[in-house]
Amino acid sequence: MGFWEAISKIIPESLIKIDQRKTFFIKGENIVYNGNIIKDSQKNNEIFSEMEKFQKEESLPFQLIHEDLITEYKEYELIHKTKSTSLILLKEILPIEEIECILMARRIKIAFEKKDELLAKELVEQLDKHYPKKGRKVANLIKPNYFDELIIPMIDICKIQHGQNYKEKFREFYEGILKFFPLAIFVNNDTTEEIIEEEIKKRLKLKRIPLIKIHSIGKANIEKVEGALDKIKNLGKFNIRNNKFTTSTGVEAQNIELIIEKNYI
Amino acid sequence: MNENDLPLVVFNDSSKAKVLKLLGLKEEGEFLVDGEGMIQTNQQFEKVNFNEFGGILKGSKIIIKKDSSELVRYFAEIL
Repeated sequence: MGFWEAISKIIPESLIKIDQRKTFFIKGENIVYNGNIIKDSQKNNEIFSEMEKFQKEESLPFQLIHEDLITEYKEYELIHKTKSTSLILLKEILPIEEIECILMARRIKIAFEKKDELLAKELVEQLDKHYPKKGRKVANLIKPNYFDELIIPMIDICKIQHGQNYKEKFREFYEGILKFFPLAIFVNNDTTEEIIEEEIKKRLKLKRIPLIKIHSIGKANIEKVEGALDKIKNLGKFNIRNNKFTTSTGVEAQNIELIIEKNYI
Repeated sequence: MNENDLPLVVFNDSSKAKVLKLLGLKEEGEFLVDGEGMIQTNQQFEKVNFNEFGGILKGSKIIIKKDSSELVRYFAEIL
């Protein structure tokens, strides 16, 4: 008899709901099943006995996790489920460390979606610590969907264009994109007005790109972008779409679309 | 919620010793050992002490430290 089959005979039937994750929280000597404390100590002991049976087995039929890790576990599990197709494709091409970096960066996006900007900040710091050279760049590409909409589809394009060499070509493309992403500029506290100006010019020199997006959060960063835009305004004819918004923690933010109508560079 | 989701058994510091005992692990000296006295390590072959114990995930009975990077490594490995 399987673990869950045995357990489902022990816990009160009224507590078993098909659409709920089966979660047992062991607190001291007590077991809480999906938020309901099992008061009968005999039943608790029977559940403990079922767990004990796996002492000599090679693997457990459940995930055993400290409560401090449970939220993270569920978030990574969600990423694993919802993004498994692209992650599996990437894992065939990129080293495992890159996949770990992408997983961590995807969790930052979840934190932003939940409007938990404090957690997002903490996760960005964690990512920086583990991947100081590229972590933040990967996160920048994931948050506004560039990763899913532009980078993942390149796997198929590389397959079509390069056949058997597609993995190598995609790796080159991916490394290149992390060094220089032509469609967008991400402004942070270390980015000066001069750097933004230079980054815009680099992209204008590429000629074939129709627009440049400039992402910035915080009044100081927004001002730097505006200063840089003022300096490059004579280098072409631009239509500027400015999407200003306020984050859930009340910080000013903006996504600028610099649409290139004429390029004088 | 997916029917195939594995049950989750969550523990905290008040139940950690009990959970370890149920799974045949114990603290010996500084580190965790199994019933045969074998020192337990995580996937990186790092010895794990009682305070660091973060759980055991499916696939193998390798223990994890109470550290986020252990989860990242696990989910990357099982893809």
